[in-house]
Amino acid sequence: MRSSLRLLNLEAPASQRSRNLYVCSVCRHEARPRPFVARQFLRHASDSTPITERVRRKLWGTDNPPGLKDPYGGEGVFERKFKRGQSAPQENEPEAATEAAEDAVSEDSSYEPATTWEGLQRVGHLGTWSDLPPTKADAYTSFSLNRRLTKPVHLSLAAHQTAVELSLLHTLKKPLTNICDVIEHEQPVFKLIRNCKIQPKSSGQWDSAVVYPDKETEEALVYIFEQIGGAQEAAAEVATEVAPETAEDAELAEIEAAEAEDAEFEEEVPTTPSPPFFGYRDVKDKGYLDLSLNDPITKFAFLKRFSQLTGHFFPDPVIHQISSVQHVMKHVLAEQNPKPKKLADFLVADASLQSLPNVKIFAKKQKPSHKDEELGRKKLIDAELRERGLV
Amino acid sequence: MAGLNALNSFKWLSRNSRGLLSGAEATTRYLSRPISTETSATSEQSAREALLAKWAPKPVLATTYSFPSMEPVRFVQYPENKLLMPLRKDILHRAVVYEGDMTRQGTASTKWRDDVRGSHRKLRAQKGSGHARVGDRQSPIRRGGGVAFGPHPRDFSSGLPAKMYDQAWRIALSYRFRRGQLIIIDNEIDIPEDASPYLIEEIFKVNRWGREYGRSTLITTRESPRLFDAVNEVGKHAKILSKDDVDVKDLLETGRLIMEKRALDRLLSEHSRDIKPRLAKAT
Repeated sequence: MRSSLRLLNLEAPASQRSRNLYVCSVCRHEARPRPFVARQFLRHASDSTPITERVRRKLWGTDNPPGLKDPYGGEGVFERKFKRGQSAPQENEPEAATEAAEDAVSEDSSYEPATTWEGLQRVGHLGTWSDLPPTKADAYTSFSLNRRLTKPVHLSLAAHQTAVELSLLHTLKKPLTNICDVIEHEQPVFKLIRNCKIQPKSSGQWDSAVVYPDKETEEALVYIFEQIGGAQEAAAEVATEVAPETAEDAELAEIEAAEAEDAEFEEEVPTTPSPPFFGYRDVKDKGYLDLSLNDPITKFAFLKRFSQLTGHFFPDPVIHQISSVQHVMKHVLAEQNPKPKKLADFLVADASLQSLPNVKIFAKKQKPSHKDEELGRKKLIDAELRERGLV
Repeated sequence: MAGLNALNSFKWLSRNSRGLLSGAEATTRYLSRPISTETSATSEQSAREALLAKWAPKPVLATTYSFPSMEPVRFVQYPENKLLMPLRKDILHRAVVYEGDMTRQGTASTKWRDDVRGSHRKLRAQKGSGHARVGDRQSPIRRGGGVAFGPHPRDFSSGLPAKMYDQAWRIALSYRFRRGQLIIIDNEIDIPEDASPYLIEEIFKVNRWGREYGRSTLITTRESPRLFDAVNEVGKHAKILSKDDVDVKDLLETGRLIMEKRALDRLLSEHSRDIKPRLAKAT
């Protein structure tokens, strides 16, 4: 069979693909441009001597008949175009300009011709919003953290920090939600807060529940929290002066290094310069858990600040149920391990359920044929089907 | 004279007091009864009041947020018969069906043989042609003839008692509230003038309101074309309605409702006919 009569060669020609790499047939098929319609317009069956030429030769009786080579006006537009496309890479005498250009391309060793559109620069669009990049007005600043803190340590640090802050404000008789103006404390201030302990006096009272490690810390914190809502910069400055230098700093550096390694968040955000809570990984006391949240104002302030620090959202029914800091922690930790939605997952998670007499777990969905097999009638059914020629 | 006066006044007293001076027993009975009943009644009443206060439905506490930062603003209170109604699926079903019926266009229309244009001439003679007898060309068995039993424009709307429909609204909102899927916005839902749908996408992504979390419906008081266009561009994540276009079905459709407080208050007050007794008017 002549080459042109063969089935359309749908593979990309060797010249179009990289020679270094082996490319499988499937990929070659994908890489090749769609077969040209002009194929259908090819008048000649083969490249050697077209039938019209042969007829002409026969009519004239010579191998070089006079007149036009092709009495039908030569190749059509599509034919010419297609031929050029086919033969261009193989041509040995292209124009000087194109040669120079090709040289320039071939000089660049890193250049690899693209085989698919993916990753190529997009040129031109219809001007819809999705064609344009986001503008400055599209920047969104959320009140709470854009990522949700999930580690129990971070959550307890946040709860402890919130508890200390709010009980301080309680003691100072200042509006509780003012604390939300301070998105993040300076590290020395945070260290002071972390060193404080919470010991509610009776039934989870917030007033003067903070136990300071020393007088200096108390004075510094009271001074800083007096400023909240006013000049915070001054407070930060003072804090840096007052902050006691301890051996903790060395420990902190280690912690930070460790933290950087296993920073895990639900949604990773590339712009997270520092680990949360400056890399601290433990809370000194658990007294804050006993604080009561029955007072709506305190509850509101606590949940607002806590969600600002951790990025957690508290729906209204949950807020209604919460009556202490302990409940908040329970809810937030339960969110990390949601109850499995599928019964199978639920059963797999609990070994005691698997041993129940009416529970069986199979790897595959059970069909009537499985029951046949279990009851020993599958062989009979198979044999009968075979006998009747149905299998 | 003075003795006569005193006698007269005594007579007057005895005539008018009716039992005050009618006997010792009566006097004691009259005096003793109110004292004892008063003390027991007050104690009973106070106990009753205490119980009632204990059992009295407490108002629902809901948090309001500021849009778009989603900063909690305050706690607001709603009566329990507005945002804590018990779930009644049957009422919700009736309301949704009622709305569906109401929105049916009911404009399907066909022509019966009388309505089809043309002459009512008999197509061929009754006898002698060798063919079956025929009447006119409008007959429903002929091509181009009228349609027998075809649809005609009609009103599909069904009825539902207004009080029941109002309950359905509050039940739908309560259901959302109880599942933590009602987010109340304290201010107006709006975006900056030069913001594009990217902003809506980002807000939905950060707050987890998008398609992965079951889509969300925004309900506003005012229909701002800019906001509505932007949200409709990201329709796979969000749906936006002004409060006048909301139905019970819309309240139940997506994963959560993000409503302006004004819109919520308005909807609740408009749909409280069953709990707001209408005062009789003097005619």
